[in-house]
Amino acid sequence: MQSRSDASATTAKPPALRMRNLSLSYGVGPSRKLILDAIDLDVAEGEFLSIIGPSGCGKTTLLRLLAGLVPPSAGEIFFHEQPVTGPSRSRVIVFQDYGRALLPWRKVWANVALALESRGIARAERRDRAYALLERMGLTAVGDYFPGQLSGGMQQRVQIARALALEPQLLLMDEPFGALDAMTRQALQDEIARLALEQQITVVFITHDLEEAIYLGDRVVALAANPGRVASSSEVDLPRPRNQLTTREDPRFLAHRHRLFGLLMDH
Amino acid sequence: MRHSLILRIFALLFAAALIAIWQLATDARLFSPVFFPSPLRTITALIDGASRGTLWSALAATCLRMFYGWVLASLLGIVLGAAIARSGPIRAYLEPTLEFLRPLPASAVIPPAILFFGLSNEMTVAVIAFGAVWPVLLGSYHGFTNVEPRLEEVAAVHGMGALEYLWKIAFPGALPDIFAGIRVSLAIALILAVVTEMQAALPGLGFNILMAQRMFRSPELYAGIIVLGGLGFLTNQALLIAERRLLRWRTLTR
Repeated sequence: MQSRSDASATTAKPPALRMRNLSLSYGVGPSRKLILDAIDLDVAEGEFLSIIGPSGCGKTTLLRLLAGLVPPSAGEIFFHEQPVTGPSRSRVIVFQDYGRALLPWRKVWANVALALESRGIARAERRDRAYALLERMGLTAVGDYFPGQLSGGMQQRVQIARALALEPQLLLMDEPFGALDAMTRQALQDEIARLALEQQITVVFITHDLEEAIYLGDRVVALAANPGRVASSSEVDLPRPRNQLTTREDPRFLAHRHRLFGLLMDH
Repeated sequence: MRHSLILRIFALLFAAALIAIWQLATDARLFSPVFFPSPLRTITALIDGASRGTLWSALAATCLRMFYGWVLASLLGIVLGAAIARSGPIRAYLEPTLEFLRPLPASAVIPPAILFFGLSNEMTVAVIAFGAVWPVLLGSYHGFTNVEPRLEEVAAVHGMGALEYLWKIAFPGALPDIFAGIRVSLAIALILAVVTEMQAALPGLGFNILMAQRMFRSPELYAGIIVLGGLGFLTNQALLIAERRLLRWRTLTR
């Protein structure tokens, strides 16, 4: 098992996100169940961090802690040196179940406008700005549709457009493409990689798909289960922009895949 | 398209057949014309009432009664349902009382309502609101308790306050259930509008029907009943159209 100090991995700049001794448990006394055990992780500004792990390792829980939707039982999270105490528009989470995360009674553009409303953007500007974001996600044609009229991949694009409308500093993605078919998944992988690069957003990306984690990440953190803890952290030294064919055939990609596969099997 | 047209034609034929049987039964003098008029005499009475204006004023009085009572019931039901659904203490305080009041027949509260408000329109509105509030209350409660939990988190991430959350997430989410309650309430409102008029001798279709019965003017009696039926039908249709427009997102799916 490999373990290393994350602070040394990046530049002298303070990390965007720091997790210190982060633990979460449910229940009390003998029925107490430890979900996450003393997680120490740093995420550099602009870094794309993939987190993988077997089901039940608490990766979704970790993301919810980072979003501020759940308070930790012990330990602390610092975002740009400020302790995380609750949800914030600067740390936006993209849920896997896009169908439930969108407001079904609002048209696509109005779902994106929800984020603009919460930022206090004037009513007159919202529609145009929502459409500008929809254009970036290739959704202009369906702006006046309701979410229920769209395919799963398009609905997830709407959720990502809404997340971007908040202009977050940190994008937390919880297996966002897990429910999509392979072709749609690949297209969205490339879009999110491009957006993260363009906007210099820090991304924490949860997935159970090993290849997706390597393909997207600057770094891949593997969690072990029962209780959830960091099993390994490794830099992905593959050039960007990445390519669905050549990157996945790169010997370095395959080396990562072999190593992480073995690691996940061990746990 | 063609299928639904055929169904509609059959629905109309069925209604026409019933009227024909009615006409034949009265022609054959199966019932005394004093108690049971022919459709023709009924329609004549209807046209007569419409041309003299008596029908319109009665219709307007009943409509207003029903409308005010129903609006009051709907507002009360939505607000109470939301409050009970969203707040544990409010539910704990109100639930036993409401469970006691709910099974009370609305007609039983007419006498105390008359003592409070007199033989007035306020009395009828109060009684209608009391009787019609329950379906909306239950619908609203159900709708506001079953808000998608994921959307609560979406609201939290967007930094929504409690009121903004209620208005933008909870209320639109509860609207389908609220509409279901509101439509039942509309039917109850019409019933109670007629009952209170009869009890309190206030002008309206209900009172006209009662008077026609007492004076053995059976064509007017049946004309009144037909107008009431039409009123119930049309108001329900109007509400259905409003519902279809407001909840368009539910029917438009992939």
